[in-house]
Amino acid sequence: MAASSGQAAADTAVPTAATTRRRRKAAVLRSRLRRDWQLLLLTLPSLALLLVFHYVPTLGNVIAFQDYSTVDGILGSPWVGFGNFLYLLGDPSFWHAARNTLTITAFQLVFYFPVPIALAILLNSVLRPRLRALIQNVVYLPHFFSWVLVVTVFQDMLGGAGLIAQELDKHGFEGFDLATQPETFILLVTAQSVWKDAGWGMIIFLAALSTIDPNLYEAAAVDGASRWRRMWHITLPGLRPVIILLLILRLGDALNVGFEQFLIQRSAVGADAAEVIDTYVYWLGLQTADYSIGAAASLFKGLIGLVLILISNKIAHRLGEQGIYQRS
Amino acid sequence: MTSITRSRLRPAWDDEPSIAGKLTKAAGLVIMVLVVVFPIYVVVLTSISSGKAINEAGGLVMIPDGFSFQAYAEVLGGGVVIKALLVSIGVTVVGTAISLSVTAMAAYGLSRPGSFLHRPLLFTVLVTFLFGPGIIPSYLLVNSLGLIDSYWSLILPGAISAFNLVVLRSFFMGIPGEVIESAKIEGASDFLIFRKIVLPLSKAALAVIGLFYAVSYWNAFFNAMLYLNDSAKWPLQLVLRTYVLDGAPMQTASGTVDPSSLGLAAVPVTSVRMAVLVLAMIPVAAIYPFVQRHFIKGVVVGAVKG
Amino acid sequence: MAPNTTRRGFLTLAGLTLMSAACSQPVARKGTGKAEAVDKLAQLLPKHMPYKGVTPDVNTPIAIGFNTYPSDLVKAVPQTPGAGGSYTAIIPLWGPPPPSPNPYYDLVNKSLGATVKLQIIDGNSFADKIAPILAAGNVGDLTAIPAFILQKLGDFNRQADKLFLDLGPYLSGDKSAQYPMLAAISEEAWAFGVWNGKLMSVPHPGQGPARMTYYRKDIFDTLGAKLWNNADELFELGKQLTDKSKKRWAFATVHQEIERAFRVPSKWRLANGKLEHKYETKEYADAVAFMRKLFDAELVHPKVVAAGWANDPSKELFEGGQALIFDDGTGAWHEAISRQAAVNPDFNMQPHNWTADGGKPYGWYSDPAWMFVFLKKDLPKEKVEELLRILNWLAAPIGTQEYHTWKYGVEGTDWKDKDANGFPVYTKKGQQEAQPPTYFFLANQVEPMAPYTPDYIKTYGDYLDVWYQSVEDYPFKGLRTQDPSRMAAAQQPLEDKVLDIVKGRRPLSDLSTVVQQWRDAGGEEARTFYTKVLKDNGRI
Repeated sequence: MAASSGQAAADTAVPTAATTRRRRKAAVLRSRLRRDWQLLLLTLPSLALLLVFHYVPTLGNVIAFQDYSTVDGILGSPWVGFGNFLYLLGDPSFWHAARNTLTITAFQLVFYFPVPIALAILLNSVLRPRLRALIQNVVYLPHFFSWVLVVTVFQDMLGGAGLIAQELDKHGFEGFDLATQPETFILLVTAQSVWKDAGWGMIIFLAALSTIDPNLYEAAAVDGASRWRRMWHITLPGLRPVIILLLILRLGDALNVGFEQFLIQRSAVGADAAEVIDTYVYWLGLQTADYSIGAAASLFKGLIGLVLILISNKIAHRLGEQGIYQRS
Repeated sequence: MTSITRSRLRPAWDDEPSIAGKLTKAAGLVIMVLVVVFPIYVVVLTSISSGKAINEAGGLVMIPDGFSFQAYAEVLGGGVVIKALLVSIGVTVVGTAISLSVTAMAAYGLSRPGSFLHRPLLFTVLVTFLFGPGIIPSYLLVNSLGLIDSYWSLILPGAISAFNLVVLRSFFMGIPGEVIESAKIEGASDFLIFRKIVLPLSKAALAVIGLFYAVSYWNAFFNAMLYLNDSAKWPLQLVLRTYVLDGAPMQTASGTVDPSSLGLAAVPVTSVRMAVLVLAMIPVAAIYPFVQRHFIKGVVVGAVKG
Repeated sequence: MAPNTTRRGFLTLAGLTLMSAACSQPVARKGTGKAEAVDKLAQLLPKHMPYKGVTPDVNTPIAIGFNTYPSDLVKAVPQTPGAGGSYTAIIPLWGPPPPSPNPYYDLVNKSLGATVKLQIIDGNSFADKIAPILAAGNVGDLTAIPAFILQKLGDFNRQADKLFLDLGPYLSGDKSAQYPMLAAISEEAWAFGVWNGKLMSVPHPGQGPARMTYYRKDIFDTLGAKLWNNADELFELGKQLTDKSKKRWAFATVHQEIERAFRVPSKWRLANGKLEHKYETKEYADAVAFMRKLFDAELVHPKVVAAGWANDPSKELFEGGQALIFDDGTGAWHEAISRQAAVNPDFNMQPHNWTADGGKPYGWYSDPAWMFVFLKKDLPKEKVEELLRILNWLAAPIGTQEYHTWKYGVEGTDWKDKDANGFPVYTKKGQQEAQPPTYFFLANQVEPMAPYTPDYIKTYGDYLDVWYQSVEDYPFKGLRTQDPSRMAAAQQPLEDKVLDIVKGRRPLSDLSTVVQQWRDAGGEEARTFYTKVLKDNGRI
């Protein structure tokens, strides 16, 4: 990574100069260590936990390069190089699933991502504390619904035997069935996601809003800034670091759009519309205990995610934002 | 008639919004609440509906038609739910305390611009957001650490969420640099700054991240399923799942042992499912108001600065 | 083929097709499949000795049951089986776990003379958990694994060799006489307990139709509807029954039974010495066309059209009278009866065994064992014998004291009263402790029927008889085939596209193309593999 480029540069220098440089560098390091040892110590417990419980088992993903069998374990299973990756990349169904996934991600970035922000701003403008608390206590609850239930609820409302279709039918109109239309599936899943998680996603923005200094609003109002201008010049800038951060993280997650939601609705709209990478991998590998192909897919997704995060972080920097990393 | 009465909650400098604006806002809020409340109403209603009502509806009940608390009696009377509830509370409390404190420490440790090694360390954290372990290696690890059947197996493997850490760090970085720099100049150590300045200024963020951790501990069942052999130690969500999920049929001579209703045959499956959902939601709904106070009125940095 | 891919539907699918992966891929996928033949194994199997101590009213290899519970219970195993040992047993359980410890466990353990500590795995997660357990070698002294899960475990043949005990030295041939209840298990079932030419497990015997077509007799009677005898009549009946304005549709999930009724083979059939997969048959094309007709005419409940994995509402719709005909597992029948007993006294659900052409009945083959109990490798001899004695005790059939003990638990605590037919009725506590099938999974016997309604045992027994006599000519009878790992790779695209056809998203004429794609993606290879299996076993 870019972070370690400093150390690497030292080794390429001329031998005689190297000694002095190394000494100077060591001195710098010592003084930085002396200055920041407390920060490092604070970071240590998290890193230790991540190393033991995350990195160690994640090394198990080397089975992506094997034809892994649980009987033989990692040490005994044969190595197949990039075979599993080539298999994935050579399968048109994989690309179909990837295309669906990215389309849904892109769609939801536009039509889902801003919703919690708007909700938070709307709710924040409610002045009565009781009313505000009440609304807030309600809107996050759908987060605790399982996907099965969310889908069932949507079908009971919008499906062919659903509430709306029944009412239309009663009044002599032609009923409809949004639950089984492949063409509008992307709208349906996005509506489901908004319903389930927008209230939950709002919480983080509410917290961010609470850190904005009210004096700024007052000063702006005194200067004659209208409601909308205040929102544009104070509220949104106040939220910006969090928004950008979450946007970058969401991009890193671009190849994950959920699994259960799509698996459940697969037969309702057909695989053409509902196949995403995770369901594809499920049918391909996990149902038949082929762990290697699953590991290969997850490495692939992680790698793409990493690239997207680095790129979007770069763009954020160009635009003068903090992003995830600061510029060094 | 047309004059708008001023809300006494509105600050003096704020101008009153137009009627149209107010109406739009009110309509927006009402629709939002209705859209959320109606399904919740349906779920609660179904959980307390009689078998007849569920027969009529063929699933979720929207119009009340006879009530029955059988589903709750069935689930709560199972003899294992109360114990499981205690386990869940214990794991959630201990887990959240550990996760939140460790995460907050690291979030601060990585939040000072230009500090030693912070970029590679942050990268180390971030990678865990993208690459995760498979089930089998995780099991082998927990097994070799001797944590099978230990409650620690429900806490330690997922104790740190990179997402939460990075978000909290971003909140910490929002604290004006001058506040921390001036403390440094006065000789405060990073430990002291963390404790006396950063934490008190970040109550809203800590409340949110704490909530995220708590809910993920509360909802978790997979680790428990994987690592706990002794069913007496199962947390609530794992026990509740056994009521909810319709299982695979097992072919036997005189019929399938169809699990969905073993021991529950007399109660409509649908109402049991909904009762389970309500039961799992109640504790969260009960705690949330206390948490949200912190981020409705976060501590204002400016005030402290002055 | 699955108009709705419920988990249930899917699992059945998984069992329906076996195929190896396409070899044209960069990696030759592992899993060449495996088959064990009953033919070669005769000398390996425990000698079959039927148990004559009880005489149930229905007593066949696939069905057993009393109309009234015997008042004099036979003691089938004279000696206490255990020798004070302490063992662990891994079992699946669908449903909430009993509180532990509890008096029921204590009673069973006391009767066993040993402690069998149950490690319950949530049935819906069993496959997720058993794989790492096997990888870590953390198996119990006893490990019970359902057959449909074994199908999903890659390399189980080798896994079994590594972790589980060869029971041959204890049970083969005449040695079975020491364990008379285990000797009462049929040889067909025992043959399924053989892996790699070794007797590796005690099988849980049991056979039957995977699903039955059910109809609402009470509503049929009210509407004056008559039972159908062929597909055309069914379609006409469907139109007659469906009335949207009354929220009534003819069908919920029915696809599997329609396939069967059209005489589609369950997996493969031999035609002129050549293996033909069900997808390739004319019958399958006819069944798909018929289902398309049902969907086009909107005779299937819209909620079922939209249903999928884990949210198939068919049971609820059927019980509520919104759908009048559907297919489900055989156990669904008595469960619905118990559920509706208190709610709707008129509820009357009956199975109907029908065929599309109105000809003689036709049923799908099912394997003679559905679950397997393994013993841990490297247990000392006396422990193995103690465990086998425990399994022997648990295998005693209905009508014995042993069965009564593990089935009903402590008298006065777990059950108190008896119903009209003399069957013990669980108390509230018994429902929590004794009723969930825990030791049941270690009790390897044909599961008895209970008289849920006065004519239940007779109707069901007759159905099973008809089924047994009309089972298809399945080329792999008695062969336990271990599925090749990549079977879903070629199967799923086909299932998806057929579903598109049935639901009208794709023209009916696409079917032949879809089947051809399936052949190219692995179907042909599967045929080669299975042809070899037949050759190796001297069947062609």
